[in-house]
Order: sequence, then structure tokens, then C-alpha cells
Amino acid sequence: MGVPLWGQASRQISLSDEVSILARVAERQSSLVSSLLEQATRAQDISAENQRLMSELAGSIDRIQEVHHRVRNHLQTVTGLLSAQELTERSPTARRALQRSVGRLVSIAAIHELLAREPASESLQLPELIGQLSQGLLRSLDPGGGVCLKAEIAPMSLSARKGTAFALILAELIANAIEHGFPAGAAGQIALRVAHERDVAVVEVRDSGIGLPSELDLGSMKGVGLSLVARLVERELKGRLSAETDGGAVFRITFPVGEGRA
Amino acid sequence: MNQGLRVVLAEDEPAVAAAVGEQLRALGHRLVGEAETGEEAVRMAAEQRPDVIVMDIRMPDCDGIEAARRIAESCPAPVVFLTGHFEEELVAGAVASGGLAYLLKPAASAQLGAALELAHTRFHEMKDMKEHIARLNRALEARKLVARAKGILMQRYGLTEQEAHRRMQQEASRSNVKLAELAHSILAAEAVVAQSSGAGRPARAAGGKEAS
Repeated sequence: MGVPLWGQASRQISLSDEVSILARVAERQSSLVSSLLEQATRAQDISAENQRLMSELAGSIDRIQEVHHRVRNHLQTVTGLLSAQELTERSPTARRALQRSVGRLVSIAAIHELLAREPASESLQLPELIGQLSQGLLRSLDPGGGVCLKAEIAPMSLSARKGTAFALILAELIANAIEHGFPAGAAGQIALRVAHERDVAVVEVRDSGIGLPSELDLGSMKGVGLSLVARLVERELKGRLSAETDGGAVFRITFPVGEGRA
Repeated sequence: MNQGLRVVLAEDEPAVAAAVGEQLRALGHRLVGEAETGEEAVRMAAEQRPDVIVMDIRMPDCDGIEAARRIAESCPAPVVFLTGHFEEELVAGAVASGGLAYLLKPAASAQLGAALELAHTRFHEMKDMKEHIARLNRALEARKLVARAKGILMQRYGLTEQEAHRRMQQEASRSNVKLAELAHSILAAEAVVAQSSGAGRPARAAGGKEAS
């Protein structure tokens, strides 16, 4: 005998129909349950995999930090030995050469530091880079402390590669201004200006020193400093370097940038 | 310039320790101890009583921050951290441990020298200030004692403040003690009297009843 499935059912169904309906419902439910179980197992697998990846990532981050730590230790060893040598060296020429080398190391360390702190970032913010760089550079290159640096930097970012070139260029130009502009530890000022004019960046290093020697020819330089600058400007920044005497010495670099990004 | 400082260097990496040691020497300072662990740094700080400690942070045993904390407790000396780590919690820990400078490697001699000098000078300024505060506190305590002692004399013997003060000064100079010491004796005597009269009061009350 059949049981009405709905109160208002107009028709009675047979027992065998009912059994087969129930059987189908049971079958559907069991397949639903087994698919749910399957999904749950898969979710569990995914979450276990996620956890594994997360701990692997954490391990990688730790290892990267450890590598940065080691790099900083190596940089400390080299900087320490060079700057200790500089302090104990009697010859002024040797001292200056060592000072310049320490300055170069300070620049490279500043780049390393910025890239280490922002591992995901492929670009360097110029104001931050110069902020990181300028004090250490001035301290190393002008131990007497008579020279002050004034910076006016437009917001701009550089790729890690161009940023490295930029930092080295800056170290050379500042070293140059201190060494040639203010001989014998004279006091003075260096003004650094970085501006962004349409798609060109203009970098100007201007000192209040004695000006350039009349025979300076940027095309044929013997010293490492300016020849390194010329090479980096041309090859890495794809830009132009010029120099003039206007009050003190003025070095100007122009190089192409995109929308505030090179 | 604070040249010729006696420095303890704590650094577990031998090459770095050698280079920094040379820097310190070139700056005119004297290395009086080289520690490779935090534990050693604490021990050397106690043994050598250095003018400055240059401390790495990540070291075996106990790290530089923990070592600095223990040094601040047991035998205070200015600590300059020199480290390859720049995680925020480390900087916060270094500040909390009482460190006076935090240099990130690499530090050229100019930076290292400036940090040492600053730390050494600040440490002594702080020490002087602490001693000054302690002296002021002692003076303040002495004044409070004298004021309370005067109060007692005024109350017990109906003296004016000036009279109480004059008598205390006379007595202090006669018996060759400091005014604060005399005040202390007066307060002690008052305490004894107050105690005995406090204990005696119920007895007197009881005696009164008997008498009546």
C-alpha cells in the first residue's frame, strides 16, 4: 500500500515505485557523500601542501637573510681592513686612494642594503638610495667634516642595475669634489640636484671649490675615478656626462628615463 | 676625541673580528678583550671593565642583546651594536637592552669611531645625571626628615618653627652630627614614645576605673 507523499497528492503511488524512488535517493545521497568526502580529502591534501610550501618559503626567506648577513660580514671585513689601513697610512696619496676605495664600498653596501630590505622590489627609489648613501659617503671621504652636502632629489626610481651604476657614479663625483675642489681639507659645500625633466633625468653635482683644471678632458682620463664615471654613464645609464666651471666645478649627467622610472 | 678607549669586541666571525680589531687599533683604541660568544662578552665586561663594548648580535650561547642586558645589570658599560641584521624586533631589542648605538655592517672606521665616541660620552653623561638625581633624592629625603622632626618639637614643646630649627641646629653642632641624623633620632624617639603611650593608654584607662 502506498503512502501519500504530499498532503494534496492526487494520486497514490505503488510500494514498488516508492522503494525504487527511495533506492535512487539513497544512491544519490551516497554518491554525494562520497564526492564530499573526496573533496574534503583533496582540501586536506591542498592545505597540507600549502603548509609545506609555507614552511619551505619561510626556510628560504631565512636562508636569504642568512646570505645577506654573510654578505654584510664580508663587506665589513673588506671595509674594515681598507679603512684601518687608510687611518694608519702615512702617505697622503695612499690615504686618498684608500678613502676613495672605502667610498666605493660604502656605495655598493648601500645598494646591497636597499635590495636586501626589499627583496621583491626590482627597483630602487632614488631619494631613499641617496639618503642611505650620502652620510656614509661623506663621513668616509671627508673625515675632517668640513664639507657639507645639500641634496635636492626629485622622486624617481631606477632599476637595481642602473641604481648600482648611479651609486658608484655618485661616490666618484663626491670624492672628486672633496679631493680636487677642496684641497688640503678646506671647508665647502657640495650641492646635489636630481631633477626629472619629461623623459630625461638630470643629475648635477656642484661644488663651491676651486673649479676644474683648464686641461680637463673628459674623453681622455688617466685616473680611475672619472673614467669609471664616464663609462658607467655611457654604458649603464645610456646618458651623457659634461663638466664645467661655474663658481666651483659642476658635473652634469643626463640620461633617459620613462615615467619616473628607468 | 675620546681616543685610547679600552674596548671589548664581541664577534663570532674571526675575519670580521680581525678587521674590526684593526679598525679599533687604527682609531687609537685599545682592544682589551675579544669574545666569540655572548657569555664571554658578559664575563669580559666584568673582568676588564672596558670603556666601550662593540657587540655583534647573532652569536652562539647567548646573543648580543641578552649579553648587553646582563652587562647593564651587573657591570654597566656603553654598548655599540655592530651587526649584519636589521630586523625590526632586533633593533627594538637592542634599544630595550640599553645599547647606545646600532651600526649596520659594513661600518667604515669613520662611522665606527663616531659611534664609539658618542656612546662613551653619552654613557658618562647618563651616569653623572643618575648620580646627580640620587644626590638630589638624598637631599630631599633629609629635608623631609628635618621638617618632620621640627613638627614634633613644635607640637610637643609648643615651639615656633624657627625656634625648633635653631635648637636642632644647636644640638647637631654640639653633638657633631648631621641635621638629618639628629632628625632621624628625634623621629625614632618619637616613635618609641608614641608606641609606649599607645600601649599605655588602655592600661591607664583601666587604672582610672580602678581608682574611681
